[in-house]
Amino acid sequence: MTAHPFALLHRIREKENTSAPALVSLLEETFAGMSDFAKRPIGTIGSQPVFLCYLTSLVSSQRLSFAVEWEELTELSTRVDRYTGPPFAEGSRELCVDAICGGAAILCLEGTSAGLILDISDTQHRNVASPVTENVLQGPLYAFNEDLQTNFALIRQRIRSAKLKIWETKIGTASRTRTAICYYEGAVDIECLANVQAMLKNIVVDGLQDTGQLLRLLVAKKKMRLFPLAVSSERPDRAVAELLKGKLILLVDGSPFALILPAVYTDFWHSPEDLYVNVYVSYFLNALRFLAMFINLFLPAFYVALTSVNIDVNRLEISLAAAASREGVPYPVFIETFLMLIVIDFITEAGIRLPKTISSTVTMVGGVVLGQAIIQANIVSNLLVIIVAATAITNFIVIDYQMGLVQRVLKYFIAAGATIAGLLGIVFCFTCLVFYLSCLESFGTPYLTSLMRKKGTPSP
Amino acid sequence: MRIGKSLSGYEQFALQFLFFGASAGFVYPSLLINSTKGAYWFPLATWAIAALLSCWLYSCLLARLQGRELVGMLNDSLGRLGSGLLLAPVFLFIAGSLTVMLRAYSELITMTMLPTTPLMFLNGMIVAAGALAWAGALPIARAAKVLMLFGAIFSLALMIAGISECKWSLGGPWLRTNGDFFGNKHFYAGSFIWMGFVFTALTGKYTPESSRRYRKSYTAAIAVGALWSAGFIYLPVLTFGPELSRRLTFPYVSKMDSIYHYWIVFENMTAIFISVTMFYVLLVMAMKLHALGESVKSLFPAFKSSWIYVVLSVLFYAAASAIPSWRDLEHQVFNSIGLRMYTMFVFPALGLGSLLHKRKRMEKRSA
Repeated sequence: MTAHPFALLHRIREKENTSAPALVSLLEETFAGMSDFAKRPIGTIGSQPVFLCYLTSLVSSQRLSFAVEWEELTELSTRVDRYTGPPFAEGSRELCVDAICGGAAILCLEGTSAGLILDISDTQHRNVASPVTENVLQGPLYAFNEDLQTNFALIRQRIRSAKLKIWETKIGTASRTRTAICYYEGAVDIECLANVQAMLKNIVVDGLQDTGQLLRLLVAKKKMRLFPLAVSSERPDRAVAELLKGKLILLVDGSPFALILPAVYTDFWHSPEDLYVNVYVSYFLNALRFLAMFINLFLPAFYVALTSVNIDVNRLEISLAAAASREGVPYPVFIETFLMLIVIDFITEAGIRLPKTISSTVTMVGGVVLGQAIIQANIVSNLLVIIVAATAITNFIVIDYQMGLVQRVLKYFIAAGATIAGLLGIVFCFTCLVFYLSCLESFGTPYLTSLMRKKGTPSP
Repeated sequence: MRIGKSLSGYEQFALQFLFFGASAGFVYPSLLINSTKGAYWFPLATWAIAALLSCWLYSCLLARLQGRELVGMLNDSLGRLGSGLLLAPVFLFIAGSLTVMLRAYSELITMTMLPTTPLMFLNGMIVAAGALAWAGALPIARAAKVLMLFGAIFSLALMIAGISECKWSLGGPWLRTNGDFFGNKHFYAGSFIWMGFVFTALTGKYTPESSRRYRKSYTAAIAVGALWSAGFIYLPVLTFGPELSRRLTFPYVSKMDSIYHYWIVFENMTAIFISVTMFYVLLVMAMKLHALGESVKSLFPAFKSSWIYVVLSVLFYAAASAIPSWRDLEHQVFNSIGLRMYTMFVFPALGLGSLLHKRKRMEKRSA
């Protein structure tokens, strides 16, 4: 049972070393120049005044009321009795400074070098809301938010088992961001877990803001890391499904995204919805996504190859139609294609960054008006506008945002290959891509793990 | 972590399958068609059986490695000089086959798709193979699985598209043979397509269990590869007849040129075939480079891996660029018959003999 706070304060006074500097003045010195630092006298013990020190921006005014919303004549012990929260802890200067920075208040007697830490912190975060980047029509409709405790709760509510373990550390010399690894005991790869724990402990950085930044820090030593090596998800149901498969979930306080690792290439193409629809429909949707990936990567490159380098590969009728559509276009095919691909990327980027009310207008102006005008001005062929539109649409089918960004970059690479060597250039670039992917490993797991699931592993 | 583990049976199958795809579609049909006037499947089946025998010899050799690499083990039992002498013809064969493959593929591209592109530029494709070879055996195996998926789908589709114009009467004689191919140099020159298992034997560590897996997967791959190769041979014969096919340098490529269906969007199927073949060629070149690079590393452990692969890639680029003409390339195929026979049969037999001799010596010493 925890000792009464009043008794603890008495004990601190009795064992006090008089030569040690007073905590109150040390805290004042440490937090000098901080307008939200408060030192409030809340009573006396004997002749010594008792202070409550805290940062007004981090504490909950409701939980602080035990100390401030009383008449001055009220006994201190009565006030302290009204405190509700985690048990008191005694702390020296370093602990007290850390605690104040974390949102706690320090109860200390004037002249003593130690104080009592009262956790009355109040973190600001959103309520649990619908996912923004992983919408589904069938399945749970809530997402993680920026509060780590809430995120733990969302996971725990879906795995009510003692096998769900949470390991926590703090990252960032300044931010001291709480970072956690969730794993399911018995399913997790112990070697992978130990590696990731060691990697997290070795991260040296001033501040950690998001799981995306954490992933960058984790794979910082690997060169040429174009592809994401972990799935980023804001859906608790997806995180839990992956946990049960033996994967690790990394959560960062202040980030609404969970990192799922290790991740293989095919993981980025599965939607959380795949688990909730008919299995054959799920296979069809997966096939559709892969088809979209190939169209997105290769369609502009095929246009360049078949209209400028390997004209004889196509049927004569198609080649003539393509040539007719380019009549009057003054640029070579590859310049025309690269120009349009860049324009469509501008529009996409503008649509994402602008407020929702304006973005639809920009998309309309960019897509329809600009497209029509650019054809009429004979800057590009109308066939290319169709191709670029199809390329842009297929890019939005990519489930994972980071993988979608990689696809957007890679289509230029393959189009460049087509410009140099036509069809062979496309095949060469694709083969190089396969070679590159085959060399990648995500936290010890080959990125190109078989498409087919091994017997005994959970079904998709 | 799978680093350091041996290849799975499926991965070995994929590698051998790609090896067939990389080498059976170009010169091989011409060599085999010219090797006999009887049924073509006899020489094909004969080579398949010979390949199985060679594969069995290699698996017996690998079973005695006790978790070690072949080159390292030979080095220990025969010394650097002895193992160097034993392996020199094998290295020469690999070097020759890699040079021929790179140059032949570049030549084929200039003949069919990119006539104005310099060969020096096309030979530069070895950079991609060199990079993968440096990455190791497991990345090669992973890439092989993916490329086999794509390569097999496209190649099979091309074969099926070519079937409709075949006249089955042109394929005869279907059963008659007088064994004339045994006396024909074209028959022996065609041995190069059956040797995929040699390259994986030179890399990786083997145990009795993994050598059994090696034998099983390559037996399956050789069976599938024989059927695959039969497709490369019979499709042109059934289209053009044996006489015309004999005169063609690349019968299967010519066959691809002849495919026309109103429902196929593309007209130039040769371009598709050559493009798809790049999947096979790049991967097989990486496999050969890796086999050579790892063998050099085993013999000279002090050498840095990255430098070995850079030097090998530059050497083969230079060698492929230095071959004066296509005819010289054809001569090379015939001139290296001896090296191939040595690699297939003599080397594993000698290696097996040396390991058995060492074992007996050890037993005597311990007794």
